[in-house]
Amino acid sequence: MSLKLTADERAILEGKEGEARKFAMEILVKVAEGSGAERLIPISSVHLVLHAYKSAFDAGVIAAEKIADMGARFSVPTTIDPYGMDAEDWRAAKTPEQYAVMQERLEKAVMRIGVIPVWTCTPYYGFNMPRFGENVAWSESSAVAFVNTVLGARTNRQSAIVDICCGILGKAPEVGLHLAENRRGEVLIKLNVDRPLKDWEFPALGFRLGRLLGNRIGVVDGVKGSPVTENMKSLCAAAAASGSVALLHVVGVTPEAPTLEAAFGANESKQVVEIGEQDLLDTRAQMNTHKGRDVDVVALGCPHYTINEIVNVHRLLAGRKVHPDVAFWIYANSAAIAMAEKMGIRKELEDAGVTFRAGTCMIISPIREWGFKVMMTDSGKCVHYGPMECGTEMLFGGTGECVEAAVAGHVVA
Amino acid sequence: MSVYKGRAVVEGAIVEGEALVSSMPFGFFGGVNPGTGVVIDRWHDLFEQNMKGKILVYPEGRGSTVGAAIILELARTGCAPKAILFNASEIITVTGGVLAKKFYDLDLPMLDRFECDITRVIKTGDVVRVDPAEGTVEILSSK
Repeated sequence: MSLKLTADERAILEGKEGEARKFAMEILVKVAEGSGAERLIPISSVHLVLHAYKSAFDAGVIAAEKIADMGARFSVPTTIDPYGMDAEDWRAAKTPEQYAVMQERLEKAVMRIGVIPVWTCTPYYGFNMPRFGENVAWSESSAVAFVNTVLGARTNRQSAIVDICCGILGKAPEVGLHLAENRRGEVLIKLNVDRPLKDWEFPALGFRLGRLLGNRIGVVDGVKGSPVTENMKSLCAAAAASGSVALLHVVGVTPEAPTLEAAFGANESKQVVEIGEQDLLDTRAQMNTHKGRDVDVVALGCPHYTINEIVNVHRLLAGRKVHPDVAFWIYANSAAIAMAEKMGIRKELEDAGVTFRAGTCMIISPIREWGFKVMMTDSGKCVHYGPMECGTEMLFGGTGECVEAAVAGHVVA
Repeated sequence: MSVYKGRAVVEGAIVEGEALVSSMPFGFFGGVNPGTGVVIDRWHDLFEQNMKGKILVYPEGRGSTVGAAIILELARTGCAPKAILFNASEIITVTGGVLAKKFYDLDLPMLDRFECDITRVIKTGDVVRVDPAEGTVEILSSK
């Protein structure tokens, strides 16, 4: 079967609704054909990933400006990934001037198209939250994995610029995870850990699953206790970065997996993999590319920290000061930072030596100017991208271990 | 020499070039420096290889959804591969090919769904001809 367009869609393709919608439809049709879709379907929100000069480069800025110049406007609510530099004070973050110029050009372009400037990779906390079963067109691999897995909304991993086209048209190709039959489990992961997972084990499990699964849908059976959304966020983000995971089923936790049988539906498990405590420790060892105990920067908030996670750091720090030789940066969106400010803990954390980096993150803002050699994080996604995008060796640990390292000036065994 | 039949997911003119083959899934963001074409992914078996002007062969796509923008930048800088062959295409990489044509009129054909594991039959350094219209890949000479 090939792609069938409605009369309205054909009219858009013929230019009857203007140059911008024609251009967007031409791209969307090519992508739909390439992915084997038979039709386009309405989607009710979009989340964009053309957000930071560090990953958009000149071509991305030029493309966004070209689309804005055609007079394009988003027709559905469209949010956007983190800002490419500290949104409060890019100069204090040592952002190169030329970079800032390009970031501001990108910002102006997407604002002209009508983006909702949430500048976060976790728009589902407070800004843009799809319901169960709702079709949306999101990019940002961690957010795609979260809304499919945790909320049961339906989106494929949309890509940069096509996401803009989806936002302009309010449509996406009907393929992949939009279809119920493609959302069933393919690989069974038996988790043999007879207790609730520790916080670091969620991203470590995600990191391992990404490598194992690629783009296949895993069903994790055996998770004890009641993971909070922040645990699921770090699990999904790590799996989406180290692999192409867009949907996981966690039996008894995620909405499409009330039981093992429901998670697989008519599918037979193609592979069964057992993961125990030692496997997670082995993965953790692989995630530490740095073999020493010295730390230059502790970077938390990949994906963006929630207010709950900021409160947790405040509690773990317990009035102590960050070691003068260590930078301790927290990345969060403007809403979480505003809440921390209202609670008074932003000032207390800053007085203790913590720096808030607003609306951006270590991966998609310039950081090499600081000359950090070793970065410690509690994020599996950050561990994956850090060596390439931050130029650092990586240390991985739970949030508590990160805080202890920041206080001591080195990893505390 | 051997001819392998697949399917063109991104069209383009016939190209010939040297193959750069990986057995690992690949993602463009954090995968390649789009200003040079050199692979920067420390976790990857193509680390420090240059994809510019090569026929890039790997099993499937992986990682960030911003990958399509990286491919677009490769098109702008002239550092893109000549073609991409994989066992299973995915939307991020396919989009990169569509955008390269749309914004820079660059052919970056992509073929998938071969009858065999394409990453096993082509070796790095082989000279291959990619014919998107026919959906075929021919090995012209082997190292």
